[in-house]
This record gives sequence, C-alpha cells and structure tokens, in this order.
Amino acid sequence: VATLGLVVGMVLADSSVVILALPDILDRFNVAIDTVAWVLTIFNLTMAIAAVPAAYLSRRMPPALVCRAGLVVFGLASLGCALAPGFDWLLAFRVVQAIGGAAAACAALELLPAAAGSELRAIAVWAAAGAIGAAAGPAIGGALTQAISWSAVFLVQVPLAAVAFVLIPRSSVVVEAAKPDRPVVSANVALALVSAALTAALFLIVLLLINGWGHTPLQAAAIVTVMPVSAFAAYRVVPNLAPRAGAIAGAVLIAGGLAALGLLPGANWAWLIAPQVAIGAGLALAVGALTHEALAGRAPLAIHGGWSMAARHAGVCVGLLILTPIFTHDLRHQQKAAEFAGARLVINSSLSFTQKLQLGDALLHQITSGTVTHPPDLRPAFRPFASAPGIAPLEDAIQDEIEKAVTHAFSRSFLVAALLALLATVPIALQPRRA
Amino acid sequence: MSRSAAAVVVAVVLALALPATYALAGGTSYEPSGSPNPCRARHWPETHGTSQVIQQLTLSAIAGTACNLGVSEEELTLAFASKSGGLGEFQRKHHISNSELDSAARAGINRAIDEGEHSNAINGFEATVLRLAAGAAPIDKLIQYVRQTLG
Repeated sequence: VATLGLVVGMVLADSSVVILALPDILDRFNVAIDTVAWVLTIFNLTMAIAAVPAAYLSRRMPPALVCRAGLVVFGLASLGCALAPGFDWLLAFRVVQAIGGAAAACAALELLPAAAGSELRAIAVWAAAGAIGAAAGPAIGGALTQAISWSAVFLVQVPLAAVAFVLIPRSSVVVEAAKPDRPVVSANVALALVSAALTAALFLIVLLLINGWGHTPLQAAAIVTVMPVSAFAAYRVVPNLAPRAGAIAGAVLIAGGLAALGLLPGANWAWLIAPQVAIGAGLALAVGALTHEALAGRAPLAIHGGWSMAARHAGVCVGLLILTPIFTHDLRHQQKAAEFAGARLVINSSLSFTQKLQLGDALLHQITSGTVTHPPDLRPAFRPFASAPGIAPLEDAIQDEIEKAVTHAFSRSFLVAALLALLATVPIALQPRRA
Repeated sequence: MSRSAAAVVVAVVLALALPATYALAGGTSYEPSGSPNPCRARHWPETHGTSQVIQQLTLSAIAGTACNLGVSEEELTLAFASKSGGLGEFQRKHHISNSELDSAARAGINRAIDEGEHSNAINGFEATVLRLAAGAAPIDKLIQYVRQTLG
C-alpha cells in the first residue's frame, strides 16, 4: 500500500513540485516569465489529456506491468528533465513524464484494492496520497532547489521511481473488460473547480513569499509546509463524514482560506499560517470526499480514477488560465501604484531638492536594474544619504509601500480563487443522492 | 444535529471568521496609499532662501498642472523626470495635446504663485513679476527646464 501510495503521491506532487524551482529554471534557460510557466502548464495539460487513455491501458494490460512501464517512462523522463540541454527539451521531457506518471498512477489504483484489502480503503489511500502529494510538492521542491539545485527536483524522482518499480506487487492478472459505468460528472466538475482554486494556494503563495517578500526558497518551503501538514492532520483527525458534507465543508474551508489570503493585513509570513491551515484541511476533506464520490461503487476503478485525475489536472490548467492574466494585470498596476507612492514620499520628504532628485534617480536605477525574479533591493539607493535627517523613516516608508503594493497585487487572484472554491459547492449540492 | 451537518456548520463559521478577522485587522486597506487630490490647495512649509522657494513653486506648479490635466501629481512628476520619452508616453496615454499641456502648465504656475503669495513666501511685487513672466514665457521651454531639473 505504501509503495502504491508513493507512486500516486510522487506523480501528483509533480504538478506543483517545480513551482519554487521556476526562478532558477528561468535563469538557467534565459526565458521570459510567461514562457517558464509552461513547465507547470504542460505537465498538467498532458496529465489531463493522458489520464483517461492511460486508465484504459491499465484495463487492457496487466496493471502491474502498466504501472512498472509508467514508472520507467516517468523515471527516465525525470532524468531527461534534470539534464535537459534546452528549454524545449525540458518541456518535451515534462510531456513524457506526465504520460508515464498518468499510466503509473492509474494502474496503481487498479492494484490498490488487493493491497489495501477493500475498494473503499484503496480509494481513501489513492485520494490521500494525491492530495498530500500535491500540497507537499512546493515545499519539497523549494527545499531541494535551495539545498542542491533546480535539477535535483527531477533527479530525486529517479531513485524513487526505481524503488517503487522494484516494490510494486507482482501480478499478471488482466482485469475483465466489462462495460465501464458512466463517470460521475458532478463530482469530477467539483474536483476540477476545487483544483482550479487550489492553483492559487499552491502557486501564488510561493510567488508571494519569494518574488514578492524576498524569502529564500528554503524559507518559503518551510512556510508552505503548513498546508500538507494540515491536510495530513485533517485526514487523521476529522472523523468520517458523509461524502457530500465532507466535500462541502472542504470547499468552504478552501474558499475561506483563500478569501483570507486576499485580505492579508501585512507582509508577514505569519499571516499565511491560518489560511494555509484552513486550505490544507479543506483540501483533505474536499479532495478525499469528491474522489470517493467519483470512484466508490463505480467500475472499473482505474477508469474512474483516470477521469478524476483528468478533472484535477484540467482544473489546474483552468486555474492557471483564469488567474494568470488577473495576477499579471494587477502586478503591473500595483508596480505603478508603488512607483507613485514612492515618488510622493520622496517629494514630500525633508530632503533638499537636489537630494530628492539624486535619490529619485538612484531608486529608479535600483528598480529597473533588478532581476524580474526577485524584489528590487533599494538599500544601495539610500546609502549615499545615510547621514541626511529623516532618511531612515523615508526608507522604511518606501519599503512599506512596496510591500503593500506587492501583497495587494495578489489579492484579487486569491479572491477569484475563493469564488472558484465556492462554485464547487454547486455541483456537489446538485449531485443526486446515492441509494 | 448529525456529525456531518455539524462539520459543515463549523467549516462555514471558520470560513467566514477567518477573512472577517483579516479584514478587521486591516486587510481591506492594506494597499499603497492613494494619491492626494492635486486640486486641493497645497500647504507650503516655512521656506528659507531662494532655493526652497523655487522648490515649493515647482511642486505647487506640478500639482496645479496635474489638477488641470486630471492626473495625479506623482504621475506627472515621473513623466517630467523620465529620460526615455516618458512625457510623450504620458501625453499619448491621457490623450493630452501639446497645447493642452501648455495651458495646464501655465495655469499651474499661476496657482503656484498664488499659493506662494498666500503663504508669504513671496511678496506682492515678486508675485506680479512672476505672473507677468509666466504669462509671457514660452511654456515648452519652462517644461524643458523642469524636465532637466527633475531628470
């Protein structure tokens, strides 16, 4: 069970594991910000497309064989990602990685009932591994990026895939090719909406921490660990709820957490803790319950698992599609707002006219010469004026305005994501009750 | 109430309480401070020497011009200070012709002289001379001067 859980967790973590490595990948391949985002998007898009065909494959052939083959493809593609000579190669290997991962994860679901003892337990393990894997992805990726390098995020998956390959239960049984039940549309739509909302939590929080507030990937990884820990705790602590209640409670908690992130009262990591606790717990409840609704009592399990995996990754793509333009627009708008606020503070300061002009020029130089992946360091601009009266409060005030602008740039995206999570309660509520 | 219903109620309460707490802690207003209305009369601090008077006159004139053009003082300052065609970009963005900029700047300078006179930084004679100069001087040259000074 642990090996199969590892397979699912590792594959689904890959949809988010690379987020903290993106700035380093951007530097390594010298590509634009919106181009580097394809490292994330292409994986999720391929998973969304490949999940159902991969599930059918694991019904046609022995699932253990499909799982092993998927792991080999996944492992080799991970190695290819780590050693990619160019950005196009990296994207190509991400596509192959997603295809292998989809095959391995769907076949793992076919193998789980025998290993776990019951179909319901198999579904619970599959859902939990996927949810915790996705939530833990950014933290693991961040730690590896800072401790070693961005390529370590991919390299570490090679031995993991190899270990899973060896430990997969040996079985050559081909499951009967009965006519599959129809997929549960409402649960899968809700799963897609929840995943779209979680895109903000998984991706934007780390962007805010690193690119906005200037934390290191390791610090960011430590801060976003709260979410998987909360998800894990919710799995252990929250009693078994009726799936519909669990799904609604989860979606509402995710919405509440995201709404709080949209209303951050300060640029301090401590404000991110409570929303992450709510989102982590909501993720565990909603994804667990919705996966149960999508899979329980449906045959064959792998195909319905394929549909739910496709829904989750399609949701991530939809989330990226909706939130990216909102975020980039707001970021541009807030950059201007920060510039104006900074200009106003310098104009109204007690510095002499000449000092104001020199400082303004130096600040502008620091802002324009900074890298796009890190917040500008304004301290060098203030150094020549260190002895001027009132310079320290002016520096603090400008820094404060920049932090406000950066934080506010994320607000609308988090609030829209909260709406997506709330929207997920509609298909859940409309879902017909099971006998 | 069943365990499941209780869980939903608890989730709803938490989901409302969390953003409400953040909003009460200042989350709704945590954003860069907005630009003050440039049309509001500018308070001049006590000035010592000609350079401080020129500084206040320049700032008041920029505020007055911004007021007449319907833009913020900071945006206009940054446009004037820009070394890379920022003023032209500013004019295109706000659809401001050269003659509109010209008359707005002239009115802004007159407002600055009024404010200087009211704050006793300049006397009546100086104000009259400056008004005559502002009425006759080529504004494009003055703008060029301000741009050179700021940039």
